[in-house]
Amino acid sequence: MRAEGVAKQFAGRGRGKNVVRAVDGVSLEVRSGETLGIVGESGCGKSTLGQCLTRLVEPTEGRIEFEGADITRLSRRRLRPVRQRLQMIFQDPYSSLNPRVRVGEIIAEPLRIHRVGDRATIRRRVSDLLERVGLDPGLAGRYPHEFSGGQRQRIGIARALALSPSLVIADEPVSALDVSVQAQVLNLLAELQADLGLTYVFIAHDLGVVEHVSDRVAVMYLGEVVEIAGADELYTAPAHPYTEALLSAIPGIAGEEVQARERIVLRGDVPSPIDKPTGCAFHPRCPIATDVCRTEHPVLVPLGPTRQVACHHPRVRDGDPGVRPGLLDAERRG
Amino acid sequence: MPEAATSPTAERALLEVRDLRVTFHTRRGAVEAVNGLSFEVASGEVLGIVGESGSGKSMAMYSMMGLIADPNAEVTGSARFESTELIGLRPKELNRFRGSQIAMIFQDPMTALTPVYTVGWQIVEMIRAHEQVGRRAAWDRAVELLQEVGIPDAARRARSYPHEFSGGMRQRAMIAMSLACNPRLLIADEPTTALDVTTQRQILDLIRRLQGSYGSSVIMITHDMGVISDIADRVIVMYAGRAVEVGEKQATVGAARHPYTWGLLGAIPRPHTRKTVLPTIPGLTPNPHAMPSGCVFRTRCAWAMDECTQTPPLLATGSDLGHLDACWLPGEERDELRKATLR
Repeated sequence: MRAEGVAKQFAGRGRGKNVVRAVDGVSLEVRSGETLGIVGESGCGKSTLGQCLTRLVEPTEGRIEFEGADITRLSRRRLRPVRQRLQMIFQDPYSSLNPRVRVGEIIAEPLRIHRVGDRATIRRRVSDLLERVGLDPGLAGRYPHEFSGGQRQRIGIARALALSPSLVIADEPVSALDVSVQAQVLNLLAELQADLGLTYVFIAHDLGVVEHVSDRVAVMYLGEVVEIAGADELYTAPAHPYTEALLSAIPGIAGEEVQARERIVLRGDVPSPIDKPTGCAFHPRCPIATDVCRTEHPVLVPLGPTRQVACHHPRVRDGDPGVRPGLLDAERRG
Repeated sequence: MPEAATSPTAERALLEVRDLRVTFHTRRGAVEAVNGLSFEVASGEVLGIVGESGSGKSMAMYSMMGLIADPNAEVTGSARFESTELIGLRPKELNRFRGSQIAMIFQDPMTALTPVYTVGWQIVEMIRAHEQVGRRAAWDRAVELLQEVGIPDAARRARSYPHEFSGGMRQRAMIAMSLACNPRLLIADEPTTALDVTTQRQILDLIRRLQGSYGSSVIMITHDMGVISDIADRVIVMYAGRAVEVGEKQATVGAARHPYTWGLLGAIPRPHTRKTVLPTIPGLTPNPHAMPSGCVFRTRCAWAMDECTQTPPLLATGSDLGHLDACWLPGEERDELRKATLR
């Protein structure tokens, strides 16, 4: 999947007609078989981006390519075969399952809509899927309220897998769960990825969870991707001051060694996406902002072979592979 | 981060809880949400209570504060705040303590703030409910408090309504309100759970700073081992209504001795777990209507043995006498088992 300049604006109501720029020009690619983590704080547009990628929400601008085809403007009918290959898992296992429908029916529904197989095949497929996600196939006749949060999330996963998708977009799939249950669901997602060759876009606010599952990570702030890099690289040596601030805010666990980080406490709150700051959206809270940050909007540019960053003053560390600090600075200024 | 050197026994405890029980009488029988919880909070101490949903951590606090409205709930045991027994106190008497001596902040500040009055007005009302001060003076104090918790342009923001505040600002306003009468004890129930990491950082720092300058004690309830590690001096780990492990933070979190605590710690994704299978606690929390006899964790414990059908006492099982746990495993094997489990 490839997204180019994807933007979603919501028109404001009432006088003034304020436009909310929830997603503001995001370009990224998702490689086959990888897990791309998308991390950011609430209101940064990560969920809206996920919904744009599956066209649950219509992007106002930009282009989305999936398995080589442009899906941005496909009609509902033409989108249907695409949806078989592109599924979503949602955050809240309590509101994303219809309480009045039996679990077996919930999982069978996508199969029926896409007319995959007859009744007997569908029934067999449902029990396979239940077993696949670690639930007893005998429970297909029960209703969602009879299951715990973790079990419901497994049902949501089974439903997403029913049509054998290649790409699954998981929007905060574990944030409503207790740690011990969260670990079970994370393990399940990893196991399914290995067995079925799935590609994931994993959207979450929990930096530890994203680090655990992702091959590459994109950090979003106010609707834009500010840094995207390999997970190791991003977490050990963040280049964008916002990434650095996010990582430094994670509380460590007593008695465990943590990577020594300079504590950067951000001041104030995230500005409103209605009234985005000029230049770099992060400049009012950035500890190293200069004049150029107030006037010029930084774009995502490569920094080393596997990293892109949108910052006028990215942190360049000694020993960063492929980075030539002097030259890079000169290029940026030039 | 300053460590409290005081042990609860060295100094008279501010709050002493003994055998606290919360029982709900339901049609299907009695359910014990809190089952014989005992602990104390020393003055100036931050006590962390950590546990998963349903462990009874919030319920224990609500029962002390008389906040359980369910007529089928029965609260027994003792919770002595300085020299006053809180359990069984009449609401009118309890109101003398609530808000002034003991303040509480919640996970979702929006439910604790009323949407129809300005934030400043609500703090003023809070001050005037407990102290004899004029409207003008109370207002000035409210603005001062908002300033102290880091709300920019406090004089103007005091005239704002809660919905005009962001999540972090609302939590700050709640903290300002809870500090209005300079409470001896602040109970914070998951105060940062709904917040983003950077905001969480700000709020944790704020609570620490205020706790230092006001000298209040804090009970911090959370499910997050990171938050507990950041702020607590001592930690209680709760499971199914009971305390399974208690001790100084470095001991309880850093050198845990109970298998449930190992399970909780092991399940947290960390840099070195990237792309590996996370250790999990098998099964589910027990059904409250069918609690296992003896050790409540035995149905999910990898080391369960015959003794576990008897309830293990909360005892010191190692050399640290302040570090208690409720488990039958031989004390001398714990360190090795922990290292093997947590890698």
